[in-house]
Amino acid sequence: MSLIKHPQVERLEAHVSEALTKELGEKKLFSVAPFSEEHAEQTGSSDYSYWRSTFRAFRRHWVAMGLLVLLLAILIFTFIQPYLPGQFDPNAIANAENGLPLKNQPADSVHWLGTNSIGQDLWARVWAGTRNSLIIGISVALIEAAIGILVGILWGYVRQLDFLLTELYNILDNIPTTIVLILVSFLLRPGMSTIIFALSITGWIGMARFVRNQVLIIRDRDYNVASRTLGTSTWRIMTRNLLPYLVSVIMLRMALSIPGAIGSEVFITYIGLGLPIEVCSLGNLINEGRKLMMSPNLRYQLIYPTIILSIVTVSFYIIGNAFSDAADPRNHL
Amino acid sequence: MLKYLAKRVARSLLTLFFILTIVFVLVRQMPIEGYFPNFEKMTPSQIENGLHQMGLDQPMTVQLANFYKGLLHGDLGVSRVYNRGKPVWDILKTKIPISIQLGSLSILFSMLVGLPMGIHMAQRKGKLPDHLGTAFIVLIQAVPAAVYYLFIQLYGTELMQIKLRFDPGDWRSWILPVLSLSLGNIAYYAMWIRRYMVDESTKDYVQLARIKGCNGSRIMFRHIFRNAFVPMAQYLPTSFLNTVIGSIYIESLWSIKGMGGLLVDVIHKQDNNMILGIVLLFACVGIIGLILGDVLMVLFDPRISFTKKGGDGA
Amino acid sequence: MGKVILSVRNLHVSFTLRGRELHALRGVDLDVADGESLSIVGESGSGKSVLNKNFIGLLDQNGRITSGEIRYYGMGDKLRHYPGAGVDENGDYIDLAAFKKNEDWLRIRGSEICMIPQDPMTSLNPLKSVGWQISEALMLHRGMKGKMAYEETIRILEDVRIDNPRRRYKQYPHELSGGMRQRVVIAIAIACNPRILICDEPTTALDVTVQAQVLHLLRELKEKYRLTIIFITHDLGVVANVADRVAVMYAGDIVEIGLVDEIFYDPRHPYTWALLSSLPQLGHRGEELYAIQGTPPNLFQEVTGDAFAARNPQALVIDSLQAPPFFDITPTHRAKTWLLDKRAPELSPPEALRKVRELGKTPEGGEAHGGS
Repeated sequence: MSLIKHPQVERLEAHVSEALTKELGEKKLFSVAPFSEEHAEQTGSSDYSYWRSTFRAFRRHWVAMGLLVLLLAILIFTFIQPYLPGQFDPNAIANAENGLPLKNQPADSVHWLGTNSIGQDLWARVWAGTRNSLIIGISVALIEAAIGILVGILWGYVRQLDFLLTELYNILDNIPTTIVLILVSFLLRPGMSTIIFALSITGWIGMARFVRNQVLIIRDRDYNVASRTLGTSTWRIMTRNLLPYLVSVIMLRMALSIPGAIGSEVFITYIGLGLPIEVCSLGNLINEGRKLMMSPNLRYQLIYPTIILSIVTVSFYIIGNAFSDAADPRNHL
Repeated sequence: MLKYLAKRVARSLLTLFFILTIVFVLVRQMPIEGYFPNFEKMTPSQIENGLHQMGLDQPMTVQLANFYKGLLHGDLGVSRVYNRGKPVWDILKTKIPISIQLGSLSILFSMLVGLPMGIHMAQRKGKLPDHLGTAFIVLIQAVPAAVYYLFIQLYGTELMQIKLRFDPGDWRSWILPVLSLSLGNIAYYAMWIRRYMVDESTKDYVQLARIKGCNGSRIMFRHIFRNAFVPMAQYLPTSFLNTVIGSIYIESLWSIKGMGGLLVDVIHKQDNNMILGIVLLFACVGIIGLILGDVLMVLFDPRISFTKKGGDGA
Repeated sequence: MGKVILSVRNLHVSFTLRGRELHALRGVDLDVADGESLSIVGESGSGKSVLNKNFIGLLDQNGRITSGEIRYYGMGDKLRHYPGAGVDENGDYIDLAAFKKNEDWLRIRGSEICMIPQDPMTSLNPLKSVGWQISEALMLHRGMKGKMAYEETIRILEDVRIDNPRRRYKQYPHELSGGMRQRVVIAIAIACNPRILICDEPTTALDVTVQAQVLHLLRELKEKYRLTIIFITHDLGVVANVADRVAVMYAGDIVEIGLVDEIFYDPRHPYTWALLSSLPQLGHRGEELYAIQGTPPNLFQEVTGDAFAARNPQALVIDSLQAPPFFDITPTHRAKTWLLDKRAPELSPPEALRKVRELGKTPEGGEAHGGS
């Protein structure tokens, strides 16, 4: 059979839909159609936006969304609570009509969560404690983030530093942070700034490593190589090209370090190196409650602080993980 | 392979040295009341004398050198406050066995429960067991251990009729402490093995195993689990540390006469030498965990890459 | 054509992606004959891999068969109780498209139909020795264990031309080169002793020099083990080297199918013309190389008419309105194009294609066919 001549086999005729035949007529149907180049290109443009897809993925996680709302409500409430009517000072001792302190009262309409063993209003104490613990947690997270990001970016981006910092990391990573916490608290005498300091000096290391790993992955991508060849300064590359991609990792670490910090505070209080008693914190409250926990009717002094502590820590944990999952482009389907 | 191990062991020892030095220096900054049981009653010259006798007025480098010299002879100093005059090591000797028992039981239990749990969760990904397991893991990881230890003690003793006071001879009083201590690691192991198994299951070689005609459980155990288990070795050191830290709290909560409970005591009593000794021992346990982890890695992975931990990009 | 052992009938496959449906296979019809070497050609996204994944039940999680059948013949009584079993003009069959559970596939995968995946670098288990992985296949399908499996593995390693098989048996994948790993994967497939072997672009990830060796090896093994091979590729050179029959796929459908000579020397579908015209060997020095304009259609949207019409400068009006059926040119050659309809004008294929025949004859032209 030759290439160009018509086939020798008789060409068949196929069924063409009646509607078409009626509308255009066979002759027109089988004539050559005009050709348009734009029509040939059918690549739909992708309207993919990273942040929009991230938030959409996060919104689907309804547990995290619910907890986010709850957490925000708690956060706002802890700070406005003292200004609401009918609130007691957390350190003030309430007295009954006979002048004696109202010790260990169960919850009633005046003292919404009852009083503790020296007569202080538990509701006020719980919120004051939450406030302080949150301050500690958030401060630690911010400081860890600031130091960790700075070191991490340098570590990942500047090749000369890599070996030194990696070895340093391997050593520092194995020092038990709790031991450091104990020793530092012991040395510097317990207090808010001591705890924040002690927790931050070990926490930034983990953040630095995460950031460094991300930077390594992104550093040698073509657009960064292009920037470098154009002579862009290292600082500008770090802040403009790298930092936006680190956000999800950073948010996750911060979200997880808050429950960690709160937990460490509870731990250190138990050992006796926590905040002084005048400063209300969840750690102090739980410790006080622990002493009474064996008597069933006084147990509430342990349970109320625990509930709020659990809600706060679990919320941060879940929200942090959900956000990190949502920020991962692989989950943008 | 041996060369690789030697390198890792050397690095671990270097880490140990580093830790010891830092801790030593830190502890030496502690208030000098920690060396004298009746500090308030001593005159300045008595104090000076005492410090000189203990070699505490020397420059730090000399003190460090002395310390290491003593260490090589097994001499950790003498307790000044907690138990007057008794060498630190003698005191610690009696407490170590119980802590080791508690710790090993806990780690074993964690592995026996945590690994199967994680595997089961990976197999039933997205279904009820997975969700329940995840809820458990979230609770354990988010809520501070200090808090759930308390509640286990509280409700456990009531429900199970267990005495609060710990009795090493009675197996029943071991249950709650070991259980409490294990929870953290159970959650840890389960979470990681599940994550690794899910990651492995999307890999190409698993696809080929399916093409070959391997059935579900064969793929799950001979291929996926076996491969996912390899990176788990790097979590061994962390779980050792978790157990050590946890034991500090658990032992004092249950009045168990071990190292952890001792640490809380000596901190309260401000006995500096004891603190130093205990912290040193804990650091050693951590290092042992590190070395064990490295050994396991080498055993499991024929590809051994030399930058698995900390230095790699993933 | 010989005895039909696999028959795809009007197969439709869709994927759910970002909440939308992608209609990846749009009514594919294909018969595979015993002992032949069938090549499926197409560009990325044409659906060739998707089609073949259905033969072993490894479609991605978000994909499913929406209609159609895949009839597999010759199982005899073995699987009569299987879903979708039946009898037709080709004999007893079971319908692979009707399989619901993974367990159903265990009797098919490996022992009946086996696949060689695309990338040998990642297809092997990094923590198991090469020999173990082959022996596993022997154990699963031929019931061999211990020494017997070992000896047979050595024999297969020799068959795939791996030197020093006894030493290689104990080695791990990372100790072997890409070409050797591909041979190991082939060895695993051989060990399963299948009837049909699907090769999913087995040479794409390899160097050109190694490509020729692997193709040669596959031809040898096909003869020796009497396999039926389905070869997926986008490289026409490879096709000419290896195939008896060629099926051209575009946008989720087969647009032309025929013997290899018919497709190369007498193509009828405008897409096949365009594909062949793109061969660099047909270019003239100093002129621009031919490239098909435009891009394949978006399969998230429904396709009306002939999918290739938008990119075809010689398309007829009816091409964008109604999809053409298969027209027979010879008993072995058919194409889905309105150009073969009686009423269509006589259009000749591009000038450049004349050169294909010339290339086929001359020694230099032998290069276009990948060498033999």
